[in-house]
Amino acid sequence: MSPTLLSISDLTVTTQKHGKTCKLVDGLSLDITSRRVLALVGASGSGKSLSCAACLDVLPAGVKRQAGQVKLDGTGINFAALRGRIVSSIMQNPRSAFNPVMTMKAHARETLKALGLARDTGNVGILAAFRDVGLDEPERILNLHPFEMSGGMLQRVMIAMALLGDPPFLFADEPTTDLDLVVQKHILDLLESVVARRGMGILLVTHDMGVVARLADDVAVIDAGKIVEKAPVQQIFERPSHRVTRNLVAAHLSLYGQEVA
Amino acid sequence: MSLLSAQNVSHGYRSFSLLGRSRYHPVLGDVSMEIGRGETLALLGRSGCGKSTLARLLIGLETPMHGDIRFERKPLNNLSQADRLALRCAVQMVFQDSISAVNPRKTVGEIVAEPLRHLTDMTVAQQSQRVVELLESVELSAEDAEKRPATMSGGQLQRVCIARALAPKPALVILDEAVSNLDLLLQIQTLDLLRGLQEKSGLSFLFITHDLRLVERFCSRVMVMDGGRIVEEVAVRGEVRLEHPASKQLQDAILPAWPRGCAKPDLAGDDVRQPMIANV
Repeated sequence: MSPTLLSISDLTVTTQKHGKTCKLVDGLSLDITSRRVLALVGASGSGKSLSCAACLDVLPAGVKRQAGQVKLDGTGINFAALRGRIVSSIMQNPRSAFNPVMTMKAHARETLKALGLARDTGNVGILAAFRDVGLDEPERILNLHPFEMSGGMLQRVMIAMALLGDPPFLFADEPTTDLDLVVQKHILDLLESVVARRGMGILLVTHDMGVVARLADDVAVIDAGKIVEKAPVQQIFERPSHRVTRNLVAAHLSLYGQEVA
Repeated sequence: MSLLSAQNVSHGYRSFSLLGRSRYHPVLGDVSMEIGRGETLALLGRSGCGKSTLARLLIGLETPMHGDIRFERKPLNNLSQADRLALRCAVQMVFQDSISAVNPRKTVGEIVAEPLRHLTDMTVAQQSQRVVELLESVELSAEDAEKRPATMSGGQLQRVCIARALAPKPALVILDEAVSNLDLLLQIQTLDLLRGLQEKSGLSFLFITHDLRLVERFCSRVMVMDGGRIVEEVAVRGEVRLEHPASKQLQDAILPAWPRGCAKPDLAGDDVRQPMIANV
């Protein structure tokens, strides 16, 4: 049976600045449940992406995970063991996430190899995953290089690769930020159907409250590395309690000519 | 009066490699448009529809294959030296990626003063005084002139780029997805700032975007582009209703204001455009 609860607790990420230790993420705790989308929201530079990277053990050089545990259905697990097997991830800029001299086929093979899947069953999986994300001619697309594809297509391929190992959880770090609105809509529809059909749990990192309104079930608001408010999405929009949350919701609603309650 | 106009402009690209040249790839087809003084015109379209190419043609970075770009009714490819200088002063541009739009080795003061050095005959003292004025007009401080781009945030750096564009007192600023990289709060603050500057100095904006929500808040007229052609043009008053299928697609893609199952409050004064308030 696949796990249904991924809990991260007391995650603290630090860096050294002028000889002093500086906390970038401070005691962050999150519970990601299968079949639900948890949105991690905050302004740029608030530590959203670093929290994701720390969970997957892929922090940039000079940045250290000082503390933190992760539990899968209540059992402790190593951070490094999450990546790719239990949590797969999709990143913000699809263009820089692919190797420019490799075809999509080579990328997919690499993923299969990392997952330890056999070549022929893997190939069937690739074609199915590509169709699953709405890429209609997988055979043709497998032979393309990244520069021959649009940002939206690349993002779909990235999601397809993330689904290959059929992991129970997905981290989506600003999955639609650089895409145009029409493509954004398609990607969000796609993520919604992934939750519904595969029963995945998604951690959605974003600064766009429109994306949150469209997709999220629960929201955690982060400011300067700390979670300042955690609530179901309706409560965040109807009755935001923290100042940071109010500002985010107010800015979002002002685009629609509305005001926060 | 028309400040800058395009008449039946067509443009395209061809790539060249060791294997010879590729087929001509048309990007713009028969585009005609004009921007008047003091207006904010939105150019709306999906990525890859030719918005940025049109901007590059309008500012004279490239010459169209067919058709004319006219600056104050004079064709761009045939300007006198003096008119060319006037064009360079009058039309400025702000790009999407502020980090790659500035020289990381220069200070903010030098970056903002660059158009002054090239386009005006100000003395160094006058230049530095103008730099301080400009930084203050975009809500940065005079001390920021000493900083280098790497020490500033994305939102601050985009304001530096806006200050640089305003330096030669332009009549038109082209904003090519100038706020797309910023987070929502910063987008709204930046647009507020631009609107304030417009009220003070009566300058025009060409606002290139794919986000219809921002168009409704910021612009007076919108042109929708699809496949290199302008397919629709309407005046903006409150909520925009677009007709063309390509525009409809963009309109439908707008994200919901409220999550599902939310008690939506009554919308008051829906068709009055309210000032953008970022910090409540």
